[in-house]
Amino acid sequence: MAEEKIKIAVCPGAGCGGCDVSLVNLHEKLLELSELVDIVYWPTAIDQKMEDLEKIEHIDIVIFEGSIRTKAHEELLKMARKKAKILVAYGACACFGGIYALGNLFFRKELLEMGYLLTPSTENEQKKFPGELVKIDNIIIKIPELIDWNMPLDKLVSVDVYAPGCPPRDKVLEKLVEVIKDYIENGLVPERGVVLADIKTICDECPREKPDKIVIRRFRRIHEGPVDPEKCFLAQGIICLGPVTRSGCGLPCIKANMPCRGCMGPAPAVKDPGAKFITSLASLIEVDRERSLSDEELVKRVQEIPDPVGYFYRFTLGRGIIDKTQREEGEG
Amino acid sequence: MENDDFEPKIIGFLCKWCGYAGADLAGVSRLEYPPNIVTIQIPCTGRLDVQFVLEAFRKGADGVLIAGCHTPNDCHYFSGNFKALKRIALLKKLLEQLGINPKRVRIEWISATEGRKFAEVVKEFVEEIKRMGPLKLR
Amino acid sequence: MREIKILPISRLEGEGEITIILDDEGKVKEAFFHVVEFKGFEKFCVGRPVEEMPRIVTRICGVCPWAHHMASTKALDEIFGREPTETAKKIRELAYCAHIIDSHTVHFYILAIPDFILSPGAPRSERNVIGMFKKNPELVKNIVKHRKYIVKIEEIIGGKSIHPVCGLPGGVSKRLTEEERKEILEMGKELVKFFEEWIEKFESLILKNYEKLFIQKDMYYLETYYMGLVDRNNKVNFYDGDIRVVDQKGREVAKFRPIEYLDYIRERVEPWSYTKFPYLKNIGWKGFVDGPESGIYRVGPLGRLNVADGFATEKAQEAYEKYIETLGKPAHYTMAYHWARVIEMLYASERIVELASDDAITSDDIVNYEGEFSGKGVGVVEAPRGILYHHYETDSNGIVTLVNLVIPTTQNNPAINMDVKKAAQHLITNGKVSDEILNMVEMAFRAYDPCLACSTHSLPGGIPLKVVIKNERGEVIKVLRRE
Repeated sequence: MAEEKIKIAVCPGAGCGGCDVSLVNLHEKLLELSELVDIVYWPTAIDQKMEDLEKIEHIDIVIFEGSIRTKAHEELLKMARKKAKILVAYGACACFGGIYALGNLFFRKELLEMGYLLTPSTENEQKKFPGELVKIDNIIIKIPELIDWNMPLDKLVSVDVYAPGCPPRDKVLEKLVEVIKDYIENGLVPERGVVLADIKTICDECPREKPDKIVIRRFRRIHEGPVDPEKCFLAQGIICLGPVTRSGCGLPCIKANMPCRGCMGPAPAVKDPGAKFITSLASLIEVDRERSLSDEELVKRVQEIPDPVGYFYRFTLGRGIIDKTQREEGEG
Repeated sequence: MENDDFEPKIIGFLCKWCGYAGADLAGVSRLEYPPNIVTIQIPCTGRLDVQFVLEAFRKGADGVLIAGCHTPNDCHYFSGNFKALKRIALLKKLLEQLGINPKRVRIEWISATEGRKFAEVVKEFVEEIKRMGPLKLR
Repeated sequence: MREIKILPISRLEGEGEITIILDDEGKVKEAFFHVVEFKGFEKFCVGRPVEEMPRIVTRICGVCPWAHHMASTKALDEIFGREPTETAKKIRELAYCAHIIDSHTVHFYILAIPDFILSPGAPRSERNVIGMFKKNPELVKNIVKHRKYIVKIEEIIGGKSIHPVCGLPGGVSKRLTEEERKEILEMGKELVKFFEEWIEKFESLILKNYEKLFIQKDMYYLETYYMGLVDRNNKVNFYDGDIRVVDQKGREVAKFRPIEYLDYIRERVEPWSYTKFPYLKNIGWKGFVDGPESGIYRVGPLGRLNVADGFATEKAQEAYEKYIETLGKPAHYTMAYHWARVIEMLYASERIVELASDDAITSDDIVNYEGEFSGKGVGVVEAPRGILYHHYETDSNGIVTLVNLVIPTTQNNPAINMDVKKAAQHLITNGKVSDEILNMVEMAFRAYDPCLACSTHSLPGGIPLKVVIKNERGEVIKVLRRE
């Protein structure tokens, strides 16, 4: 008797679809896997509906992409956690909040106001906003409510496997395929909380020339002038999150002569990658001339860096010790 | 937000050689200063990781004080204090973006003989935080 | 009255639902295409250094990240007053053509054609690319083989195929080496061959079997305006050009430059979708109707092929002429989107070969750092799904103060709603629905290749709501309440 295939579901939170395409870009490996498993839910690629998903009691592996932004995402995640033997947080959004966590710098109402009222091409004299109730006879139409703050998965449920990256690629995908195959062949369940990436940092893998001592004289933005493709970015005064970021992505950005923005998330033993990076980066500024500058001048040099939260927490604000604005609503 | 009952919780990261010694001297000299501060000795302010400050806030601190050796020459480990100075400068910018008053973090140079300065700074800081009100983190 | 819900809609990018409302006779009274996702880019990008935007806005959509990357980079060119170098323009267009193929192949082969290679009524669990693979493994393997070429080209130029990084104001971050150029050229030639075959396959495998579905007026048919980017000769160009609008008879009614877009486009809001409803400002919003009195317009492959006079490459032009001969011009048949997509993939492949044949593309003059900072820019490209506008303004330090995005799928949103309703009305007459019927309603939006993450870069609110509007001095000018 043929053994029943394992069930895999791909469930979407608030994402961009890039994680879906990254799975498609497994190319023939995906076709191979499709013969070994039963994909029971994946709205991007197959037609199974929510009612079909609800009927399935046990799902071996749920690959959950995207962060949690609405009530519907919350419910889907809770359902997925209940049914799943192995829950994979797939992609930077699911693991750390992703770039949408930057939305947590604002309140829902502020985001709403901008999108549906204040942008120059919007015409909304009647001040309608999405999410309001619509009634047609006895039928009520109401699209899912937003929750207050964007969240990575592990703020709500326990996560078994983390596949970081925006989107996951290279070693991360290799390891995920390994995990799936090991499970199919040997019933192997990975260690809870495992991160499918390297234990090294981007710096450890970076092919660029690193000086013994990195001195940042002046901070430089990437468009200001030519960037030496052989030299460490930090040594050129350009912010690069290599020191605090996990490796396993293959360093494609750095190879394209652009600095790392940290989408692989914090290296092991780093709790809050943005804060940790401040600790590292600040040290380097004028580090060989500290005594020749006054305290005020040093502070001024450091504070020339614009937008710390956008640089240091681009993909990982969901992992910040402070992960959302602390303003009073209506202020600022 | 005025609240007469509000007693700020201050965490002080004090370096062993200067800041902590200065605090010790204040104590030995029986100088009065508010009891709101809980002191943590670190070998050098250069040991201060910005994560500690955020963690202190997360755990309930309304203000964080860092006290180290005077620049340019007093640091026992040569340049640890400069690192702290720069880190706190960048942290303050981050705090502003996150909607936390950057004045809730304060960095001071307080030598081992400056017991009086320690007491003054703590008094001043507690009053300032009282005026700001408690930091109720979401 | 009762409602039928399709939840979620499938085989597209993004989160959406369809609600069909039936009256007591079982006839369709209303139908809605709901987009239920939201992000907030227009707000949370404020405060970011503007040169970081190309790498941030790719996260509007991971299926068309290059479109946002490129429009963003072009906006930066204007903001920094830098004309990109000739080499940079070539590299950008080369990568961008590869991306058009990438996005189109994902949609066409994985999302769309299972409906045709299998059938609209095939069992739900089989009606997908895996079902197609089981039926015809060689077909699917060959598709995968050619997708690998595309992804490789994107990675060579942009670092990553999903969420590229190479865009800089005035240029690109990395030059092309001679080996890379040769590699891309070889792959480009393979792609031309592949899509030439698919022009034929489209007719023999798909059009032949579904001609009545594709070419009819009961459903999948709207007479709207069309908008697209055209080059100096009014031919289709994905990377650059002027914006042209034609009417239901194909007559040009507008031509403008990116910076003028606000003179032509407005967007409405409905409470039942997070995606807005754009229309031509000068014609006005007349409701969900088509025709010359309604400002509704369509973009994307169908739009482009109606707006342009043709294609600048030989084989695509030949395919285009056959397309027009069969469908007329302008072609109003929604299913023609699929056919137009294949022709565009052929054009993009030919363009890749053209650009990669020029060895000047390996020059190291890849960034122009000179320019006068202006602080304002509107970058426009033809995204795979249609024309895309990125409008940024900054302060004197180059920190973003304003972001406005007009997205292709958003611009198709009114038409998608109309097409979904029309299909539902035609297919559901006595309250009877089947899986096949519901799938055919979904096929009404699927032809557009909608990208819902793109279309809602904005956020919803809860109820109740109080909105305080302040002017630039921080003074309150209006307070709105909704309980």
